[in-house]
Amino acid sequence: MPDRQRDWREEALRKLADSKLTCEDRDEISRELAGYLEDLCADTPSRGINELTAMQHAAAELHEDQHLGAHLYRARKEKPMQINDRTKRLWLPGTSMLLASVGFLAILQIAGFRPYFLTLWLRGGPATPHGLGWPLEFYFPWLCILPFLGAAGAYWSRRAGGGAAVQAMAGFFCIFVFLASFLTTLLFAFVIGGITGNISTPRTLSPEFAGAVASWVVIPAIALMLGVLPFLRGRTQQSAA
Amino acid sequence: MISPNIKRGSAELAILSVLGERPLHGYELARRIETRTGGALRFTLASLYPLLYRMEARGWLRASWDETSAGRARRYYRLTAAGRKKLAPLRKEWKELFRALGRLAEAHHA
Repeated sequence: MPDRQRDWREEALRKLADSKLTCEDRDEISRELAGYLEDLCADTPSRGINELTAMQHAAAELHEDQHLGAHLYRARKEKPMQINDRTKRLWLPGTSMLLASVGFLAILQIAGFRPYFLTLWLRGGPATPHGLGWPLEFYFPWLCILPFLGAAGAYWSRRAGGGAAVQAMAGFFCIFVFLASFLTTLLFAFVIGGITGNISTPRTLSPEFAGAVASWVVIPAIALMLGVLPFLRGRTQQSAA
Repeated sequence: MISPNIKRGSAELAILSVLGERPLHGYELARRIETRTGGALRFTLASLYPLLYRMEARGWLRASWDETSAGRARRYYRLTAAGRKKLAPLRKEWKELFRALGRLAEAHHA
């Protein structure tokens, strides 16, 4: 048996001689392949063949692939791009739709498209001295495209195997980013205001802030929802069926 | 949704499923898959090892040298946490494929 083992090892080494494998890799792989071939030869009783036929089978397996060394080299060196499920189902569709949305908005602004301004009066009116209103700002073409972007985000996430919650998050991704930007701005305003002693009270800050949140978070969220909801409803009906 | 890589996935599923039970060296693994599938799925050295090394490079398997009961050194493969995680969606894909094929066969008979 030791002679046979040495033979297989040498034969495997010869087989791998032309490959790009390092000496250590070649040594280890030949040991492993020799072990496989040894076991194949030793397993003659269960396979109902004699020892000579088993050795012929073993040799045939070793020489079956002309480019075995190259294939083993490529397999060992393979460094696949590992994209985890969360990236495929949430981050990729979400960030892509965010970029599309911000890109479209930038194009509108570069093209000189003017937003539509409106004040939502909560108390009094324009002529009232102590009236309270939220200044709103709309880019209608941008709002019109948001349902499609929401649908695209949810669809992409669904194709990647995302569940209903992940699909919704991918569809509404832009909104989370806008909201986070507003909250960060608000936080900085308070921190810087606290340091300089020039802090705005929540009361004076709120109409502009609330108007901006309504214009850039609440209303766009409703627009995105128009695109995302049909996907989630479709999914629910499919599950029920 | 059934992945277009299902064919390659079938070999990966077989390996992951069998190694999910216990660590095995290459020959044991090939024999066990052959026995379990009634000879329908058979690996040779040339088809098994490139796949094992690829799966090891992906982090689904970990290999280490160990001695068999007969005192021979063999390289044993075991499933990693990433391999276990990969196994569940692969099984699901395969069940979906068989269900789809079953429906197709029934429709053909009807």
